[in-house]
Formats: sequence, structure tokens, C-alpha cells
Amino acid sequence: MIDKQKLIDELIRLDPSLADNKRRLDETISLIIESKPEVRVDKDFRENLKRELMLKAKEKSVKRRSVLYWFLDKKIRVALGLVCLAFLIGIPAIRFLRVAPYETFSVAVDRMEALPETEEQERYAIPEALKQAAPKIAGIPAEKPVDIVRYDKAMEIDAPPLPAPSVADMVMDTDTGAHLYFEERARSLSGIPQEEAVKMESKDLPRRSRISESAKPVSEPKLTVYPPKPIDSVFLDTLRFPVLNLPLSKGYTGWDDLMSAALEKPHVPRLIAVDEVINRFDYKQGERFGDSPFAVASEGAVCLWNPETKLIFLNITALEDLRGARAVVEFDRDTVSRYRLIGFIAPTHHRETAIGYNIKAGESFAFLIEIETTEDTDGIFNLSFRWDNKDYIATVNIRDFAFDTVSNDYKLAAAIAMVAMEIRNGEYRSKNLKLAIDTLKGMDKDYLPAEVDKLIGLIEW
Amino acid sequence: MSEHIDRLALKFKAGDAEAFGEIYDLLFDKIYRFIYFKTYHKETAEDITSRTFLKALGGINGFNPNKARFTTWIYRIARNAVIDYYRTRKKNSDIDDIWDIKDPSDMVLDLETKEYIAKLHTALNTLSPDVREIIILRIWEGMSYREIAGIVGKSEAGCKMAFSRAVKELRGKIAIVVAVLTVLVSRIG
Repeated sequence: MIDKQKLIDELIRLDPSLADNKRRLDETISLIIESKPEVRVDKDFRENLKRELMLKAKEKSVKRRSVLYWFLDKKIRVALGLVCLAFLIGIPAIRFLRVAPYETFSVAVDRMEALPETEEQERYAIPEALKQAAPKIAGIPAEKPVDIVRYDKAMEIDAPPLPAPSVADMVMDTDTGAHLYFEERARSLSGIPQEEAVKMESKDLPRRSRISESAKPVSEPKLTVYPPKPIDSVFLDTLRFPVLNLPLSKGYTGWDDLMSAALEKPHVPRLIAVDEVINRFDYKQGERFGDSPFAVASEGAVCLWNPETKLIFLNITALEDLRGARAVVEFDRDTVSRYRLIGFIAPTHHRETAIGYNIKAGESFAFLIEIETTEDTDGIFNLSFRWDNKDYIATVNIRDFAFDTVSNDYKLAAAIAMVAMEIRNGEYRSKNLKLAIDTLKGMDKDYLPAEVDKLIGLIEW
Repeated sequence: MSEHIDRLALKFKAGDAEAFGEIYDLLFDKIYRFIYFKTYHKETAEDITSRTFLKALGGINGFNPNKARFTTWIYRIARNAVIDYYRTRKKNSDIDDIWDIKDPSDMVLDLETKEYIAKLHTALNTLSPDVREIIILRIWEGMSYREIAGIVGKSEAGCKMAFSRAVKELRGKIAIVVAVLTVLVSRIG
């Protein structure tokens, strides 16, 4: 109840005339105050009503609980405040203190756009599998964070452009080539001597033909180190392998890798694909091969890097769009004793059931085949083409093997292959880079492509 | 206090049932008393108090702290509940509470208050219902003018003016009131 005197003062402030008879005012207020009835509340009623109301309130609150509830609860507000504070202070602090003991190990994955379209889940599983595989294979500590810097243009993700191989710690490739870079990095990171070979082993790493398997998590990939295997010969015996299927497809990154290596960037020389370097250039189209839809140019000469062997140059051009086309070389065993296809590990191309390729009109494929011949060089090999269940076979005869008489195309292909093999530091190199450069420099200046000129400049510099 | 109740109301509005329990504990006595002063009958006051809190619970979404304090809001509910109660019972749209009933003898009233009410009517019944309510809320309940203004739907200044005028009027009639009280006291004695 309100204080009487306070009430009287207030009333006089409101109406000063009330002060004229203050005693009467006092009596009036006193009377009203004293006449306030005493109200006795039934405690049972009070408790029962509360119980009833609380039941209804709980029913209602379950249906109606909103986001606002969490903000109004004091404990939750404090907790949220602490979380925000942790973010504001904690993250810069962690960065400042560099809690992570290692920098990120970046893995660049290239050329997955060549893969067939996969389900959404598989798409995202691939980089995750790579993340798991990369540190294990490279032998880096498990705590080190791995960052996939780019894995596929075709994955519809706003990924940054693929860095140059020197930017990423590791490049993984679903096609060919990059696994060499991978192995090379693994070797250097693990301190494995250059003389020892390393092999990356993982069943589940992405491969072009096994995309569905690549989607699975990597199961314990391991790095195997084994002593260098003595190479008996880089050549294949025609008695054992009389047939060579020519791969009517080509990659395009070999030249860039060659230029990077020539620039002495940190680079893995073994990444250079010699066959891709040869196919960098357009060569003169040959004659139509019988009544087939192919044109073939073929030449041979003493091998630039090995006077004991001969080098065959083949340029095959499709004259129309072809599906499932095959090109097969069958060597005359009496003439050719051994051979190797430059830029390839030969045994992979000696299955009778070789796959066919879909090629477009105008597309051409250049090949260099190094052969060991008997004295009689007649009938070097039969070249056959097949598509649409039709076979076209003709014997390729090359009688003159003088290097001076071969075309510029031949010289360019041979010399550039030699440069690539030298810089690649491969097992089959002749260790005579100067000869290769001199050969290129001795060619007709009007013919020599500008980028080859640039390459020569880089190497000489 | 009012601010605290407003926060509780918002918590309840957001889904915290326990907040309504706290509101009930803080306001039950006041609301019950407010209703009792308008009914002077225990069971009726309990009935209307129940209705008031149930209406507040069910209509919490209609509460807007930007428009009124929760205390004001629930007093208004209580006030309307009393008006509804009498209007329904008497089928007379002019009756707001027990004070407006000329002859409350036919109404159910607490026995000990029947005689008292009859005498008090003499003094206060000359005032309009709104003014009478302002006097009760200000003197008996100790409410601020702001709270009173919110409940009775007038301006704060208007409430102050009405209050001082009513007291001035009552002061003139004090002799009558004193006489009534004297009679009452002598009877009890």
C-alpha cells in the first residue's frame, strides 16, 4: 500500500487548493486506506491453478519454441557470447601462434575432365580419397594438412586454376605422367636416392578406366621402394612381340613440361611425355593408304641417337570421322629383329585385342619406331588399319635410310624426341643433347616452328 | 520489476514454459486482489482470476512489449474479464463491476463484506466507475499513474487530474463517510 504522506503531498502538488484544508484531506485519504478490505487468497486454489496453467503452458511451448527462445535464455546467451568471443580471439591467435606444425601440403590433380561423368557422391569422394592417399604415399607426417588445390574443371566447382607443377607439392593425374611426378616427389620427400626406383601402390587411386573404384576411400596405399631393375634391353623382340598396336590418341601437356624443364623450374623431368612432344607439331599429310580412309607418311633413316639402329617415322591422318579405328604394325621378323615405340613402354601395346579409338577427320598421329634390322631391309612391316569390321593392309617398304635425304618433318620429330629424352633423363637417352640441338639448328629456318626455336634458346641459355 | 516481467513474458512467448510460472508467482496476488475489489466474492474472484491467466496464456502472441507492459496487458485482461462476467450474468451492458449494481443483495457476496459494501457505496458510489477504479488502483494497490493509465485506457495526465478531483470531491463528502464508519464501528463494537 502507498505511503499516506507521499500521497497527500502528491495531491497538493496536483491541486494546491487541497492544501487549504489539509486535515480534511488527511482524513479522506486515511479513510480510503483503512477501508481497504483484507484479501485472503486460498493457497490450494493458487497452487491448483498454477499446476493447470503450467500444463497448458508446457503444451504450448513445445509447439511454439522459436529461435528467440535460445537468445532469451541467459545461459544460452552467455554460451553464444563465449563462442563468438572464441572465434574473434581464438582464430587469429591460432594463426598467430601457428599451432599447426606444418604448412599445407598441396596436391594438384590434373586432367580429370577426361573422366566420364560420375554421380555427385563419387565426384566428391575422389578428392577425399586423394587427400587420404597423398600424405601416405609421399611419406609426409599424417598431421600435415593436405589441400587439393584443383581437381577437375568438369566438377563444376569454382576451383582456382591449376598451378604449375612447381607450385603444388604434388601433382596427381588420372591419365598418364603425373604419377611419375608423384613418385618423384615421394622419393625426394622420403629421402630415397635417385638410383632407387619408387612405385606408388594403391588400388583405389583414380584411373581413367576405374573411376568407380577410385570413388572408394583409399585403402592403405603404400610406397614401395625397390632396387633399380637392370634393363636388359629397351627393345622388344619381334619373335615374342610381332604386333604393335599404335595408340591413336595423344596428350597435350608434354611440350609444356619440356619447356618448364628447359626453364630449370623445379620440375620432375620424368613427367615429360616424349610421344606428346612429338605430336606437338603438324606434319605433312601422306598419301591415302589404299582405299582406306587414312593417309600415311612413312620415312626411315639411321637413328639420330644410335647409329646401330634405324628410326621409322609414321604420320597417320584420318581422312574422315572414324569410330573404333585401329592401326596395327606387324613386323617382318626376317627384316626386323627388335623394335621400340618411342615414348611408350612397349608391352602395353602388344595385345591382339587392342582397343579402337574414335577419331575425327583431319586428326593426325605421329609415331617414331626405333628398329634393329637385318641387312636385308625389304618389307619393313605390314601396316594394317581396321574399323567398322574392315581391314586395310599394306606393306611399308623403306629402302633408303640416309638421314640427309629425309624430310624436315622426320628430322624435327627425331630431333625433338631426342631433346625430350635427354631432358627427361630417361633410361634410353644417348646423353648427347648437343647433337639433338645441332640437328634442330641445322634445319631450314623457315620450316622450324618458332616454339622449337624458343626451346633451343632456353636450352643454350 | 515490470521490465523483469516483460522479459519473462518474452521468454514464454519464445517457448519457455517455466517463465510463465514465474510470471504467475509475481502477479497472482495482485490480479486476484484487483478482481476481488471488483467482485467482493471469493469464488467469483477465483473464477475470473483463472480466466484471466488462461486468456493471458492463450493470447501471449498478442502481447507486444512495444505497446504496453505485460503487467498493464494482463490487468486489462482482468478488467475485461470482470466486465464480461457481470454483463453476461446481469444482461446489462452498463455494469462493469459490483460497484455498479444498485442493489447488490441479489448478488453472491461474502457475508462479512455485505454490510461493509453497502456502507462504502454511500461514499464511493457517487464517483464514476473509471474514477473509482483510479482511486482503488492508486491508493489500495499503490500503482503508478502510468500503470493506471495503461489499465483504464486514459492518459497519465488525465488519470492524475481525475484522481485529484475525485479526492477533492470525496473530501467534501467526508462527513457522510465518517458518519457511516462511526455507525459501522458502533455496530461491531
